[in-house]
Amino acid sequence: MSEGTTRGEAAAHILAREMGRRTRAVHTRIDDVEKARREALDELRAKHVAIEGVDERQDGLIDGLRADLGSVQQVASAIDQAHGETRELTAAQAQELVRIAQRLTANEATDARQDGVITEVVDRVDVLESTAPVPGPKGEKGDRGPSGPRGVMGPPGVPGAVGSGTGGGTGGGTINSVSVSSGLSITGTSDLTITNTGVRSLAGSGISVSSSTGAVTITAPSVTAGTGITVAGSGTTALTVSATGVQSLTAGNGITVSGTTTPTVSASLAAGTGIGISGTTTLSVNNTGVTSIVAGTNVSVSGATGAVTVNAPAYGTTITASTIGGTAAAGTSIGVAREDHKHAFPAGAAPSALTVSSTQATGTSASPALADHVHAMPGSATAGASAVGDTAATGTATTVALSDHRHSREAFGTPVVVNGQTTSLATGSLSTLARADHVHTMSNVGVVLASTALSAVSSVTFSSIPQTYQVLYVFGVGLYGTVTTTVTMTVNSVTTGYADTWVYWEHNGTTLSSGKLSSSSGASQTVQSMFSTANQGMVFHLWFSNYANSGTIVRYWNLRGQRYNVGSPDSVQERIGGGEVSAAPITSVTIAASSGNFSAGRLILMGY
Amino acid sequence: MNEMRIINCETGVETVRPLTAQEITQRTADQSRAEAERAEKDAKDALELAERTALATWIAGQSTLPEAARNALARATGVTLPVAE
Repeated sequence: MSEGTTRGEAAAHILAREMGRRTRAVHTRIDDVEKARREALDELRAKHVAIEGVDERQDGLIDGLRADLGSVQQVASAIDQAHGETRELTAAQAQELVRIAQRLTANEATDARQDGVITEVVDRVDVLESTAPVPGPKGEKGDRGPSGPRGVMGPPGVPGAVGSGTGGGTGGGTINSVSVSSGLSITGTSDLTITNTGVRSLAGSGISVSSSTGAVTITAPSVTAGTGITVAGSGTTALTVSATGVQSLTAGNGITVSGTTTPTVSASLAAGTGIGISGTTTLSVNNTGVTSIVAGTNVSVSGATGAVTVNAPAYGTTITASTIGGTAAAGTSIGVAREDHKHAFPAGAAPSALTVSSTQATGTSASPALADHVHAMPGSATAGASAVGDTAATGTATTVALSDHRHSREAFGTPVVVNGQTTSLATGSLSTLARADHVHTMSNVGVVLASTALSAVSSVTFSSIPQTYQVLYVFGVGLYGTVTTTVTMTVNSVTTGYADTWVYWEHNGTTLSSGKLSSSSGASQTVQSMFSTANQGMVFHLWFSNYANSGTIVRYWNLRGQRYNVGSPDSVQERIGGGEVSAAPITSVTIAASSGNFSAGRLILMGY
Repeated sequence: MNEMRIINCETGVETVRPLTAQEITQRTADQSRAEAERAEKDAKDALELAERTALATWIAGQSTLPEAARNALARATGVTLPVAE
């Protein structure tokens, strides 16, 4: 504020500014209201157009219904003319008229509702049009005015005069289609022919009708009660007919009832033992059994016929006792035995004891054996021991053997030593048994220490020779693989100091010759020589005595047979010789072929 | 060929190994020695046969002796007199 401005000027200035602000606000509000008014008017116009559309549809429907009603009336008139009478509508036709009336009523309700809406729209348009450009404060909503009176429905068209062909000029509508209910049929397009295809006349038996067409009265015959029957009720619609006589039959003993409308009651009679029945309508029952009675032996009767008393003999009072071994007897008593009579029977007694080797006996006791009697049996005792060489014996014991009894058996003994020098075949005398895996110790028996086949091998060495025997024995038999071969022996892998002396016999088929040979300081000892064809047989024996003694010269002996030469002349030779080989115990022996391999045979080392 | 089979007498186990060079040499020596022995023996046999044949011929040629005496000499010396032609 500038200096010198008065309070009034200041107030005017402030008021002017406030007025300007409020004016702008009022203009803005006016614009908003105008916009809302235009939108409301547009909406009301749209509703009005829609209502007018509905009105048009309703008017069309009402016109159609009116046309339908006129058509129905025309059809009814045509039917009446066809039958020459005034005929009432059928139930289906009446129902169709009711439905049409209901649709008209519904249309009237819709008209009333639409009239209310139209009135409301008109009111709102009036309010909007009277609204001032500047809205004031919104007043209270006034009461809704009453709906205007419903317009008067136009009168239905008057049906045209029958037969005039002009139709109802004022009320007649246009027939678009004609439909018929059940019992009617329509033919044709412009001129319709309606035919009644349902009931056309009435008649019946047991009933009476007033006429065959038109309004017909049907009368039922009257009902009159007979014997055992009552008829209740009045008029002709509901009669109660009741039976007052026999209503049910129940069959008693010997009677059967069959059937319901006309029950058949039947009785049957069968003749029992001694009874005879004859006749059909009138039955005769006869006694075909005992007609009179006569007393026999020991029996008395009071009469021959009628009520007869038969007296039997009296019951006996003395009953003899049965005995073991008693014999059958007819008896002499004239008394009879009662059903529950009982003979005295001998009582049971303790059975005698059985003994081993008891013999069968009939017995002399006067007492019977009871079902649970038990004889005393001989007791059991410990079984005796069996022994090697036992013989069968019956025994003398007075006791019996139980099923699980067991005899003590012979003990097992230690096998004896078999001495190759002194042991001879013996049955033995020990009372002990040999186990399945028992083993005898051998002594003074030659033992095979090793045995090997002579095939595809040029030399064989027996090593780790046991030192527990007195003599070593080597036996060779087989075939040479080559023509010229000698078999040599060395011990302990020593290849020096072999010396021997030989004596031989040789025979060539005509001449027997013999001689003596010797050698010394050889690298090996020859034990077999062959100068013949290949695969000739050989056999040699070789013994080493005292072979295990250290420090003693070991001597050997050799016996051999050999085919020494083939042809010019062919000869066979036997040689016996021996020598000294070592001062050390012999632990290995080697037998070797000097050429080729042994082809077959076996080499065996034994100790004994 | 040239293999040695060794059987252990305590265990019974057999093993095979090739011959050593020394053993092969020994085989050859043994073969030669055997053939030499045979040749020596054959030579000796031939000499003995010649001596016996000469002795039988000489006995048979002793015409001054009776036949029984010649046969007795032949049996005593172990020779067989040739069959007279």
